[in-house]
Amino acid sequence: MQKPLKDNIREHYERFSLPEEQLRALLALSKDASFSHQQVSESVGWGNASFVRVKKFGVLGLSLCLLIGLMLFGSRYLIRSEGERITLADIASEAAYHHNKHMSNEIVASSLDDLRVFFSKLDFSLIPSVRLPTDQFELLGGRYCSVKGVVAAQLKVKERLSGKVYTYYQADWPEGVTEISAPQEFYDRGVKVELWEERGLLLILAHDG
Amino acid sequence: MEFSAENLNRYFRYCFALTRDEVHAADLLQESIKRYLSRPGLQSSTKIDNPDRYFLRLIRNQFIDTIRTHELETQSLVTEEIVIPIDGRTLEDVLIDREEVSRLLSNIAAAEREILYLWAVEEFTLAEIAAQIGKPLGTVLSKLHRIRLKLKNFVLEDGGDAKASER
Repeated sequence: MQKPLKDNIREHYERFSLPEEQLRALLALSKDASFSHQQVSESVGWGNASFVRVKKFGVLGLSLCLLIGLMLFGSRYLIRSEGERITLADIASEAAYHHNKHMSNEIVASSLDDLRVFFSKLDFSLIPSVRLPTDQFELLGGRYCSVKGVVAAQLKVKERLSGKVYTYYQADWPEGVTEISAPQEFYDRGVKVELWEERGLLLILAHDG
Repeated sequence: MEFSAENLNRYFRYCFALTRDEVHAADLLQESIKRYLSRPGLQSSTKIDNPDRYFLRLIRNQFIDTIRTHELETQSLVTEEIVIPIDGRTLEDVLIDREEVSRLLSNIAAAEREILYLWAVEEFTLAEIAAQIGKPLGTVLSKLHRIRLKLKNFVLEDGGDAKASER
């Protein structure tokens, strides 16, 4: 039965919703925004009420307010600086989040050559890692993803001995993140995340900790 | 700005309209929220006039930024197009079978899907769509005209067994 195109398109899209688990995760993530915004708004809340109190308490009050204002300005500046800088912990947190989503591979492949063909749109070539020798780890496949806004390869590897599956990323270094000389470890959302550098690339391995 | 479950699903559907893939749509939404959280304006007293439309634009920009390097389809979102003169008719009068909608959406470019989504789901006017995507109204009309032509082609491909018709 024919219906207006508009109605059909609307009904088509209404069939799609976020999976419950992802919806919960995004709600939790977005609450961070409300918190940060509220926190900062409160810290810079120099409204009329504050001014009235300054007049009431005189010079001592004024000095106190100036001191508090200076402290708040400082904390605001610090919050801003921290918010704009991408840290390794941020990257680890994002890797842990993706690991927990257990997203399916876009390509199933057990060889690096096959994966290189699929990941031809990356600005770099996938590399074999000395930390994941092929006699111990088996490639399962991968998909495109992003790490702090930089397009990256998200691979799945299986430890041959234990059968444990790891989420493994190869990425360019996000802007502003300093390359590391030694591997770093983080725990986030119950996931152990290891980050290291090889041949100029950022490599990340996430697994249930 | 409050991200309710209802709004998150709305934004997810917009992401899906752009990416045509549920997994990529979820990724896009997540990246957009993170970008929203880290934007410098969040920590200033500057008010956003329409946070909802601001966030839709942020999703669009994130889609272009993130996928550009490996999704050629986005070219149609970011490149200027030749505006062709058309009669100004929209798609309001088009009737279509339900099963044809999926086929239509998988046979049109991301930019065209985006316009259809904003028009049908968000119920934007054509002028609002033009403002939202930062293109002249003529470009929006031109794309609608192209969608009409594609719908007509479907009818021809079906050997005259009309699936879409005009009132």
